[in-house]
Amino acid sequence: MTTITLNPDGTATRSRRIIGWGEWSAFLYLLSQYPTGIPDSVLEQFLLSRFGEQVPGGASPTAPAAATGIKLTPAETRKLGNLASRAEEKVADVIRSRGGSASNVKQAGPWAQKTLGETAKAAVKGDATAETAVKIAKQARRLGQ
Amino acid sequence: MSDTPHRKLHPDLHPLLLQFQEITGQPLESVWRVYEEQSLDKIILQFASLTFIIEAEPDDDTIKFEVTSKQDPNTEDWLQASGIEPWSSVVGKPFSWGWLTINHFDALDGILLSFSGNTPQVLLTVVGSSIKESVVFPATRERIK
Repeated sequence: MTTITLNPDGTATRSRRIIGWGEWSAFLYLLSQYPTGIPDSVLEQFLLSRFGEQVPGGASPTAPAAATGIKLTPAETRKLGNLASRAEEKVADVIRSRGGSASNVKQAGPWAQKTLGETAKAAVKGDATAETAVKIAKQARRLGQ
Repeated sequence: MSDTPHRKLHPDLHPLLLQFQEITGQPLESVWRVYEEQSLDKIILQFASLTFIIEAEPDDDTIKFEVTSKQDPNTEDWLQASGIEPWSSVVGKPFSWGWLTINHFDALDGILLSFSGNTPQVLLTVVGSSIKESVVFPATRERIK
């Protein structure tokens, strides 16, 4: 699949990706569910769920996180939930400030020393360890209360 | 006969547990996914006469769900998932058991579901503001060497 993304400065970026049998079969199954044609929004959701930010238009424009200098996309903002306003802070600091223990910080692994914003960006790209760190940051306070 | 110490531990969870009881015995007709900013935000289980909606809570990575009267598929936003794991093997079967999962942060972040059986077949857990779907298999008996 070749995708061409138009950049704000008028240039274009071309990228190529090989579509596997699994993706073809999922697409054919989707086609079979809509005999009169797949609605655009459903097709867009399918492409996003399979190819994420590699799809033109799939990567939403960046927006500044509230009260921080880190620019987060809507997907990254969603990953953080109401912690998006703390995107510039280190994961370890957020965990501790919410009542989390040293073992909670340890469970966050190397992401503990990164900012929440960096961790959210990795989580959106599919890094499971980053997703875990974000989850610990969100839930750490539960045991401290 | 009085209840054992392992029953009725969480009366505050009874309203949630009753949701499972409402759909008990109903055949699962179809499953739909709804994505929000690349995250799996909702899963909609269509039963014979009711709809079971499962949703991720981005602020704290917990799960919420509710039973509603049967809703017509909103094909603008809903993406058909009936033929995809973990749902393909349970569509058509009656719902039989539901469990809540509470993690070590005392967060209700998942549910286990069983269809036409008494052990879990599907695990749904919220991580990074997204519902993660897993298939649960019974262990096979190990051959003694």
